[in-house]
Amino acid sequence: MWTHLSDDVLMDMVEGAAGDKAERHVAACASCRARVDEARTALGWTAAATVPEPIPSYWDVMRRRVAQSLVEAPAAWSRRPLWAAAAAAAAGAALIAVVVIGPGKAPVPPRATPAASLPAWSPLPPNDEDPALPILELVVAPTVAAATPAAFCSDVSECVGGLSDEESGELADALRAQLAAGRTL
Amino acid sequence: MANDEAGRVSRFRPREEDRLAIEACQRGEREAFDVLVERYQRDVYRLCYRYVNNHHDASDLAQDVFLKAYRAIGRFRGDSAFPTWLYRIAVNTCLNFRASRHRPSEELKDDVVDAGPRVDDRMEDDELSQQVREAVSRLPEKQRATLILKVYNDLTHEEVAAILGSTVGTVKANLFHALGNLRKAMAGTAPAGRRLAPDAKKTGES
Repeated sequence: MWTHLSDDVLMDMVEGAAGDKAERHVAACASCRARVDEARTALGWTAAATVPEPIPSYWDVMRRRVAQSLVEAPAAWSRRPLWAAAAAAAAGAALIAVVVIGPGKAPVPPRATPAASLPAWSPLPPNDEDPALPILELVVAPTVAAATPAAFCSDVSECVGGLSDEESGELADALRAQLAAGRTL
Repeated sequence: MANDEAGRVSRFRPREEDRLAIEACQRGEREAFDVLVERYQRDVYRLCYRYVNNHHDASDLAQDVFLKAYRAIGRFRGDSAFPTWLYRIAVNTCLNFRASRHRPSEELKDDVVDAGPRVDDRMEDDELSQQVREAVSRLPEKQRATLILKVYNDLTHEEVAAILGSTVGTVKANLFHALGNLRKAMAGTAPAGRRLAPDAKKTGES
């Protein structure tokens, strides 16, 4: 039974990297030979598709633009020590645990009447009576203490609320890992 | 570090300069990132240009690529070569840009039809260049990414596979399909049998 060469082998033919067996096939098979020839023709055309070269000074301009953008939007990971991100992750995990697991374990006071209209998301004012806070402290405090004597992230809500997009991503990864491990408080 | 004469990085060999710059960046030395920008900005810009076909968007995209890279460099562990990692960011950035700007119908299907009357052999090279760029930019996403990285950024099949999260066999097949579709798309415009010398018209590209 006559079997044509697969496309990846034909690509090897175009690039002159196919073996003797493939070359013998192409020599004897008009269909495969035509496909190889067409691909070679197209490959020749690709050389014509040059990218217009910017003026030489453009590259310096671009470097300055990039450097300026770094100043305006510094790397998220460089703004806060790693332990703070870990503490934030732990705090976030505790929040998730309270929401997902916690209702039967911790007494929850009656909800206050909600405001008439709230935006989809807004920072909540501090609430010392929040039942989640003691749990958060239990999780965060050892992490913070172990990482540094400085209480950089002693305020959990501030630490979590101040996360950048990058850190939020790391937090989400950490939460998923903890939930996947079945961690509970 | 300066690029080579052609202004490109020919292969993703481990570079001591890259490693030192990356480690400095990870220590918070922002200025060290400039070394990486200087070295790779041409390749990133040209890759972006292949996707958008204009200087303005390519410039903005290239800047965005480096900003994203800098913001994520704290998590770069060297599991892949830095340019592999950087090109992956660039490809994703370009794909996101195109997704936000273009309708799928603008893309060529796998089986493109011959288009338009054939122009004569006096067509200027810059016209052919523009037509090829446009044909490349209309290839299906994976074929376009494969062709750009392999042909224009001079990467190996293995490097392209690493960037696109694919296999070497798939990369070769996609490249072959891309060339076939390019041949069909250009059949109505490019002079018959015209084969440009691969290096004759290049300006610092592979």
